[in-house]
Amino acid sequence: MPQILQAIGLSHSYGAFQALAPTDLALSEGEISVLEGPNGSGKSTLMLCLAGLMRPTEGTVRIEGYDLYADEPEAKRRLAFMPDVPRFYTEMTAWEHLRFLALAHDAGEGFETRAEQLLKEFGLWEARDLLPHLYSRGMSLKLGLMFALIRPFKVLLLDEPTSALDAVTSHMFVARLTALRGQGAAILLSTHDPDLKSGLADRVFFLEHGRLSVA
Amino acid sequence: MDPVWTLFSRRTFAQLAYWLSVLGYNLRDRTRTNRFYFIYFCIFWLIWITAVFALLGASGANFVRSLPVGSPSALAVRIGVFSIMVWSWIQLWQATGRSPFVFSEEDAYLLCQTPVSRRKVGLAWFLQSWIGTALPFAAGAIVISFTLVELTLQHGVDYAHLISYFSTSLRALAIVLPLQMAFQAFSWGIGALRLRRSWRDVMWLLAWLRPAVFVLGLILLAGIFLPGLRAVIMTPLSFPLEAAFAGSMTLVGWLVRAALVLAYIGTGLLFLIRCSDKIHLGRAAQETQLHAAVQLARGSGNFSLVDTLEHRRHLGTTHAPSRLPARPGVWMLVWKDAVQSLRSLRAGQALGWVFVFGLGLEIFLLSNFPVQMVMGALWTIALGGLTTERLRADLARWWLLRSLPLRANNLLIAELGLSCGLGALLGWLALAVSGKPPLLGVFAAVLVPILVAISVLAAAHDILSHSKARNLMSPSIAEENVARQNIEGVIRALLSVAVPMGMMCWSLTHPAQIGWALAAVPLAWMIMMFNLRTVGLAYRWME
Repeated sequence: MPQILQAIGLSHSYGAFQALAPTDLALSEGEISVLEGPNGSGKSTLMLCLAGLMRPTEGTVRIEGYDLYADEPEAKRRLAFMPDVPRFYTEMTAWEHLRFLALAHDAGEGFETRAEQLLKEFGLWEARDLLPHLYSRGMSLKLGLMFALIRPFKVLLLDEPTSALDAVTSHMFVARLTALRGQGAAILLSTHDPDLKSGLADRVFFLEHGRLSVA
Repeated sequence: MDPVWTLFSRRTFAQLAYWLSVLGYNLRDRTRTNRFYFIYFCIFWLIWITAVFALLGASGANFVRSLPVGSPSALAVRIGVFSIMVWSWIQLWQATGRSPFVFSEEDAYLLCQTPVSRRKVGLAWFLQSWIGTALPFAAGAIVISFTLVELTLQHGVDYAHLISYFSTSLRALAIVLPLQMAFQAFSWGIGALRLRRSWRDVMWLLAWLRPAVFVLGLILLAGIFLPGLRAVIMTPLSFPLEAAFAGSMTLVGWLVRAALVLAYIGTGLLFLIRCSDKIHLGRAAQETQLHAAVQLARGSGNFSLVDTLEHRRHLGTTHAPSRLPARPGVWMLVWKDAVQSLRSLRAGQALGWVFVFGLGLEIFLLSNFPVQMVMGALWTIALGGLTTERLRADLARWWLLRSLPLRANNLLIAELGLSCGLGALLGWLALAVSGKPPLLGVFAAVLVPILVAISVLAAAHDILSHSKARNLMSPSIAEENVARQNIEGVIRALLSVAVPMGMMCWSLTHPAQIGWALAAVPLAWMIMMFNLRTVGLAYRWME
C-alpha cells in the first residue's frame, strides 16, 4: 500500500531533554495505526510534530510528497488533526466553526448538507447554535472530530479521541473510522483504550522514553 | 450544630482571619504573645482609623463651609437618603434579574442538593453579604458624623472632643446600618420570591416585577425635579435618619425614630425569611455560578480569568448563524475576525480605539516636534496592544490556526488585516480632522497605513517570538498560555516606527520641508516589509 505520510529522522527536544528520539514512521493508505505508550513517553510530542503544530528539532514530515513546512498549504490540505483537549473560538457556534473550516479548506461546496449530516450523526444538531464554552467534554470531542470530517483529507491524526465519549458515540466513531479506512485514508490514533486498539488497529506503534517501535 | 450556621461561621471566620492577616494580625496564632500583640493591634488601628476619619471630616467640613448650605445636618440627612435610596434601587433591580444569593460550585454540589432549611440559608447568605455591603455605609456615616462635629467646633480640635466624635459616630451607625440592612433584606426578599420552587406561585409576580422596579426608578428620578414628590419619597427615610445626624433632638424624638428603624429592620428580615421558605437553591446556584467564579477570580487577582468569564457572560449562550458574506480560502480569517469582533464589541474596547484616534489627532494637531514624538510612541504602543488581541486569542487555539492550509504571510495579513484597517481608518480620520495642506496631507495619508502596519507587525513579532507551541497546546486556561507584548517588543516597535514617523512629524511641523515626508514613504515601506518577513519567520519557526 502506498505510503501517504512519511516522517524521517523526526526528533524533538525540550532544551537538554530529548522527548522524542530520531524516529522514522510511515502511514499507509487505507490503514489504521494505533500509537500507545505509558504517560510521558512522548506520544503527544510525536502527534504534534506529525500534525505540524510543533516544529521538530530535526527531521522532516512529508504528506504525499509535500513537505509539511516547505509546502505547508499543500501538506495541510491533506492532513487533519484532533487534539486530546480541543479548544474553540469562544464567539462562534458549532455551525460557524464548521463553516469556517470548510471554506478555509476550499471545501464549501455542499457544506450545509455535509454539516447537517455530521451534526445529526454525532447528536449535536440541536446544539449547533450553542457557543462551545457551554459544551461538555464529550460534546467538545465530538465537535473536534467533526472539524476533521467536514473537509477532505488523506491523513487523520487523533490524540485520545474516545476518552470522554459515550458508548454509542464510540461505536459510531469506530464505524466511521472503519469506513474512512475503506476510502483510503491513513489514520493514526493515540489511545489507552485496549478495545479500540483491538477493534481497529492494522498496526500498533509503541513509544517508550521517546523511542518508537512497532509492536 | 446546624450545617448552615456551621458553614456560615466557618466562612465568616475565614474571611475575618484573611482580612486581619492583611492588616497584620494572625487570628489562628493562639500564643500568649500574640494575644498581647492583639491589644496593640487594636489600639494602633483604632488610632489610625480615627486619624483618617478626622482628616476626612476636616476636609468635609471645609467643603461644607464653602457651600451655601443652611443646615449641615439637613444636608447630611439628604445625603443619607439619597445614598440608601439609590443603592437600594440598584439592589432591587439586580435582585429581580439574578439571584442575590451567590453560590459557588462547591455550594451548588454540597449545599444546594441537600434538604437544609431554606430560611436558614437565606438568612445566613444575607448576613454574609451584608457584612461587606454595610462597610461603605458605615464609613460614610462616620465621615459625615466627624464632619458634623468639626462644623460645631469653634476653637479647633482637642482630645476632649474625641468623645463627641465617637458618640456622634455611634449614634449615626445605630441608625444607618439597620436602615441599610432593612432595605437590603427587602430587596433580597424580592429576589427570593423570584426563586420560589413553584412557578405557579410567582408567575403573576414575575410578569410585572421588573417593570415595576423600572417604574419605581423613574419615580425616584422624577422626585429629583418635583419638590412635592421628593418630600413624599424622602420622608420614610429622612424621618429616621434625623436621629442619625440631627444636631439637637429630644430623647423621645430619638427613641421614636429608633423604634421606626427597628420596625423597618424587623419587617425586612421577616420578609426575607418568609420569602426564602421555598427558595429553589439549585436555580439560584445556576444563576450565580458564573458570578461566584468571577468574584473568586477577582479576589485572587486573576484578572485574565475575570476577562474570560465576563466575555462569556457578555456573549450569552446561542447565536443564529452569521449572515456576513464569506469567501473561501484566506478570506475566512477576515470573516472570522469580523464575526468575533461584532459579537464581542464592548464599551471598553471602543474606548481603546477612541484613545488611539485621540493620540493620532494629537500627532497631527501639535506643532511641537518632541511632544509629537511622545504622542507617536504612545500611539504605537496602544495600537500594538489593541490590534494583536485577536492574534493572541487565535494563538490560544493553535491547533485550529496552524491546521489551516495557508501560507504564513497570507495568514498573518488576514489575521491582522481587519484591525490594521481600522487603525488606518482612524488615522485618516484624525488627519482629515486636523486639516493639513493638500500635498502634505497626501504624503501623510500614504504613510498612515504603513506606520500602522509597522506597529502592528512589530507587536505581532514580539508575541509570536515569545510563544511556544507546547504552551499553546497545554490544557489549561487558553489565553494565559499566550505571550503578551513585553518591554523588548515595545522597544522594537518604537525603533521600527521612530524614523519614518519622525520624518513625517518633522514635515508636519515644518511644512516647507516636505521632502522629509516624501522620503519617509519608501523607508517606511521597507521597514514594513522587513517586519512582515520577520513575523512570517517567527510564525513558521515557532517551536
